Amino acid sequence: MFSSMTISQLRTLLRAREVSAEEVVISVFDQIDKVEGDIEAYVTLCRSEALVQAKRADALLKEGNAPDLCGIPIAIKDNISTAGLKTTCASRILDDYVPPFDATVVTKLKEAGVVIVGKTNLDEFALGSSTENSQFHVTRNPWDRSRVPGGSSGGSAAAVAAGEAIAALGSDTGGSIRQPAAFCGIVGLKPTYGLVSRYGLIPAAPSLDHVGPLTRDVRDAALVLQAIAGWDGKDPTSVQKELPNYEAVLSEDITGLVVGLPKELLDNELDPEAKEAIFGVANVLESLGARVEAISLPHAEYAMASFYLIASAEISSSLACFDGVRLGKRYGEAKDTTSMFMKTRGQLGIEAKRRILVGTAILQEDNYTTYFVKAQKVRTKIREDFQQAFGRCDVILSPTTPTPAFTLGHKLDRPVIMYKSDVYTSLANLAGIPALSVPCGYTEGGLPLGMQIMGKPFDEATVLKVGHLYEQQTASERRLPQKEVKANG
Amino acid sequence: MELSLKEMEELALIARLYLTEEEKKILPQQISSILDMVHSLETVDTEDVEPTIYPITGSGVLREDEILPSLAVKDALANGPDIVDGYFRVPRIIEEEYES
Repeated sequence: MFSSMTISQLRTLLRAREVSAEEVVISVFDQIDKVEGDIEAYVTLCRSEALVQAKRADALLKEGNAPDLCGIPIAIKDNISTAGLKTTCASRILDDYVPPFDATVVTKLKEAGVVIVGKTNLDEFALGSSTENSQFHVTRNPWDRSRVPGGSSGGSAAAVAAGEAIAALGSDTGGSIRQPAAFCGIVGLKPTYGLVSRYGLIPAAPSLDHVGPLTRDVRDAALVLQAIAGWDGKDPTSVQKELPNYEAVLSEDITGLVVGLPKELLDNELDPEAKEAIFGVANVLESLGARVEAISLPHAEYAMASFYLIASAEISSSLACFDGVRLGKRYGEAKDTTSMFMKTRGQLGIEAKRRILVGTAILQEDNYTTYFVKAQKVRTKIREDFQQAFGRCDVILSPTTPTPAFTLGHKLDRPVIMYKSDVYTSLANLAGIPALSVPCGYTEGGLPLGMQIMGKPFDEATVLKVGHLYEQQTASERRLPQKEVKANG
Repeated sequence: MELSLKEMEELALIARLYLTEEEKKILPQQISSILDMVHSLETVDTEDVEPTIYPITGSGVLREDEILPSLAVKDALANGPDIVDGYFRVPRIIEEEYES
């Protein structure tokens, strides 16, 4: 089945004209028809437009000079702007918002020839770790329908895992690409801050937000990254850099490479199976010629607090524009603007309200220095920890999440417990460094586990290479999520 | 930091956020527990440490100031909930003081 293949496999078949882009897209929509009723990964599907795009891709493939991702069906998280296609952020406030422009990453993917399958579900405004905060519907984990797919890019992760897209774009503010990738047994990459344009990503916390790929394997993550990376004059935080060929470096070896294992991230809160899996990864990497060294990130324990404060402050500011004036819906009758703002914003879900209230509280004059600036200073300490660590090692290995996917509803009313599922991932957002989640085994119950490989700023090449070599070495143990997905199962 | 219902209602007004009765019941306790979690930061010595605003340096590259096509007014207004004569309409802000 084409819908369960990787980008690189399909690229070969498409180039050789052994399959048409149209057949690939039809195969993906057949799979959607089979499983979407159970999984509910999407907010919007673009069936007829996808077929038109596929025919266009076939014409280019026939000419023989097709761009890199020509004819590949890709899903886009519904907080990334798509011109003429509804972009809802899974919020009632934006449920009929149709952006008049494409995000830069979407423009670049279109130039690379992809076929857009649809827009995927997320926690409202990307605030959450389970996709249960979507105001439309809950998305289920393809490995176990009673569990969450993770979040906030839960729709993107579930779609790729269930064969409802070949790859997807997500956004990651504190782990929102990597945590769902780990929970759904796929690969997720948060690139270095500034490498991939954020123009057109509806912001949550702009100093922490990133756009990146969710894919079936590491090679595919390299291919999508190649297509979306690069300087963009429309994003003031975009950085000008010479880009390597990310796919070409995958085949290099890792002899002598130093892998840091931070003791603070292998603590007692970690699930024993997840811990064992990480030591297993360390052994595999050693067998490939790498050297594993214990390192320390002394301020890691403060990451969650620093992250939460900075994120909440920025979120309370970002979401201020959804006030019922310029875009989105206006709710309720109002005689004055204050009541109009309150009624419209009152439609936000409880997670958004919680973060706006915390953000508003810490941006008050009395709290600004004690809470907000303090959190930004601790962020500096965390960045310095990484600078020191990367003086000794090339990459840092940790679990992606402290536990495998949890059950639906389990943590929804306990926000502090829910936030803890981002404890390992938010470090890379605070430091702005690249971080990749790769499947690294399964629990006894058959749920996927993920490892996280963090690298030096703009050194995606090394991070991807380590992930790819591990994946190659353990290929025989890898299970395909689709095998677990049965219609009406 | 304990948050009382009154303090939370003040915050909600500043944030222009309507809260349901149910939310008013559960949010003060939840927000207090979040503020407890972040207390640990007090123990970090940040004397003479500069705050991080953006994590990566090297951004903020200036581009040439070129004139390029921009969004048509019609498209820019297309998503507004209440548009009249090319403007966003909102409820009256200033009361009329005299009749003409």
